[in-house]
Amino acid sequence: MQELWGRKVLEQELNDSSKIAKKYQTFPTMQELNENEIQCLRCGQIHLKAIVQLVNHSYYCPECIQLGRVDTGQQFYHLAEPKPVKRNVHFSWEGKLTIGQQQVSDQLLTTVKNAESRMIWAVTGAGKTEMLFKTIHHALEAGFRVGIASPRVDVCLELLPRIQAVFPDEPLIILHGKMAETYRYTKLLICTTHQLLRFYQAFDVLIIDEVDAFPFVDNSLLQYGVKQAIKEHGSLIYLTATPTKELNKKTEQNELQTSILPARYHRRVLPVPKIKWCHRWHEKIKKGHCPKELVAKIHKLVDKNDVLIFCPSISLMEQLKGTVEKKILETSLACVHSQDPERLDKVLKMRNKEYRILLTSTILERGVTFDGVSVIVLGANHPVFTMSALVQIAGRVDRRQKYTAGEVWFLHDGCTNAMKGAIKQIKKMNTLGKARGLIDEL
Amino acid sequence: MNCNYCHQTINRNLTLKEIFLPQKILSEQLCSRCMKTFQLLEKKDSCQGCQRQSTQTAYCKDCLRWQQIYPNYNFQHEALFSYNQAMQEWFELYKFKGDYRLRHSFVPYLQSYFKQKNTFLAIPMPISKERMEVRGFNQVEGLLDAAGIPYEPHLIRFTHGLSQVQKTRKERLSLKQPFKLTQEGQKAVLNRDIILVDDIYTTGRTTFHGAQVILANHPAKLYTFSLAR
Repeated sequence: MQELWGRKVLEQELNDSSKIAKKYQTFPTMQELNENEIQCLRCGQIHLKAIVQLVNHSYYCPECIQLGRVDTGQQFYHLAEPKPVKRNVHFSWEGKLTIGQQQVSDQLLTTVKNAESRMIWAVTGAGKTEMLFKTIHHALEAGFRVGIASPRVDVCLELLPRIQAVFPDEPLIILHGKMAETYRYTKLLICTTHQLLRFYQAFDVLIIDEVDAFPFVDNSLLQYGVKQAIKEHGSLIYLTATPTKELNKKTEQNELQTSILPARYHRRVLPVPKIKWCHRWHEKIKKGHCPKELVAKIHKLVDKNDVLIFCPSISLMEQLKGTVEKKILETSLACVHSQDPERLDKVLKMRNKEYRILLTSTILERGVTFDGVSVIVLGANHPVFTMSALVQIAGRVDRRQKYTAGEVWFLHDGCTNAMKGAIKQIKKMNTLGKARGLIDEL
Repeated sequence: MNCNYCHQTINRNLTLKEIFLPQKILSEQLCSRCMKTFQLLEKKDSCQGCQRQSTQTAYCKDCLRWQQIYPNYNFQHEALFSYNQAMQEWFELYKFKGDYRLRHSFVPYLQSYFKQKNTFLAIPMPISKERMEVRGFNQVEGLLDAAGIPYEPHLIRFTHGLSQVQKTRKERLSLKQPFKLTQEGQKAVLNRDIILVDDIYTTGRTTFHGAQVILANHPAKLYTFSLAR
């Protein structure tokens, strides 16, 4: 019974289909739009009928097939979310918010009380999660169902222990593609944005962390999922360090309320990226040479801090690793990318200072914190380094309380709008932080 | 054109032949990155009975056992690809998740294989009615349809059990005959060269069951084929 509250699932997705009461609601899985097109009602994608027709004359949706195939031979099962009932929820957070965080936290609480939506634009390392606690607590006590979703499973996994520690007695479940745990009903849950496709009018408060991250950006499937998962008068909260154009436009047109937190909790300015010309870096690496600007920069930075080097592609990174190793002797280094099975292990070793230099693809652009690092973006003019990626990468530096004079360098051979935009945005946030008195001058 | 599997744009240079000779430009279904993960099977040093790779002897252990069970059947199974990790993942999406679009993935390979067998009567391995209802397509017929290879569904499956994947090797080998030929099929196979087409060959149990039913109706010659093994 409870298993179906706020859900919209196929029979095969149920834990035990024999146990469901007869009272469930059913929905069609797909909707014919016209003679040629049909829409999937789980992910909202529209397909040409001719392409998605099966031999038995059913239609299916290839787009969200990883969640189990939707086809016209099936139906969705659903039960409405029960009415909220006020209750007491044990809240065990004793940390203290900074003035800046407190302001945003208060605004957020008001937003949820008024059943409105809001975007929180907080710089990298501002302490976004802490600002949510009070609002989540209020929502849970009001009997609301609260969802926290992120496009990145890494982000979800990192959130879980932090949220659980704050609400130690609250049943909490995490949903993502590779989990072993079976679904059960909870008032509080963490999931990847893909998992939202299995919900229907479930959440009174839905928080989307890292809205600017792949694969959420420009993904109509996931955005459809969000719309389906939230209740009609629910509060949608976006968290981001680098809002998309679309979200900024909504803010400007007053369609979306926005809170900006322009400074980190330690009251220092964000490190502003510096740029350096690195002639024909791509050709040089392809030929097995190491650009001398890179070597010089590594030597200089590694004196004070560990160094993260972001590379635009995995193949380039692997070529670069060999040449850097030859040039920088006596320094331990490794490289890591999304398909690397030892990824977590290597990140841990970097944190423990077993490596001094880590070459990485954009996988480490967000969600990770290292003590005392400097960052080099090699080939910052490559198209994979979008403005939001560059802002995130720059945000890896100086996240801890202790100041280590970490630096951010963009090595490039042709400045792009993304690079200029990232620097401009970081500077703008610093100016705003100073104006609001959230930053101490050094 | 996009890759049928990963949906990335396929980017490749035309060969000089393709530019200068007035022949049809070969259109791939899969991009080179995906294609690299699949492994074509070798004929050299493989088992004559089932094309198991790098065997020391002419027939592998399994095939020697099949020879004992079917002493009058001079079998020679052929397959195109290794059932490696990448192929298992592909089948997971095509057959078990049911993404029917993937039937086009290996079209050029199937076409070139069946070109040499164009006088043969192709009979696809059947699936049960129940499975058809759930999956919505027969995965073998899908492959043949996509490649434009004519076939006749003479074989039918009259029992519906667990999927092969859910069984142990021992359970699979002890299965009872699940197939029969249609009445039309019984006449059609007589004195014809037949090629029995399946998707995957693992233990050979299914293939031999299918073959047994066809052999009982005296074809001129019976070949068996699968996309992967």
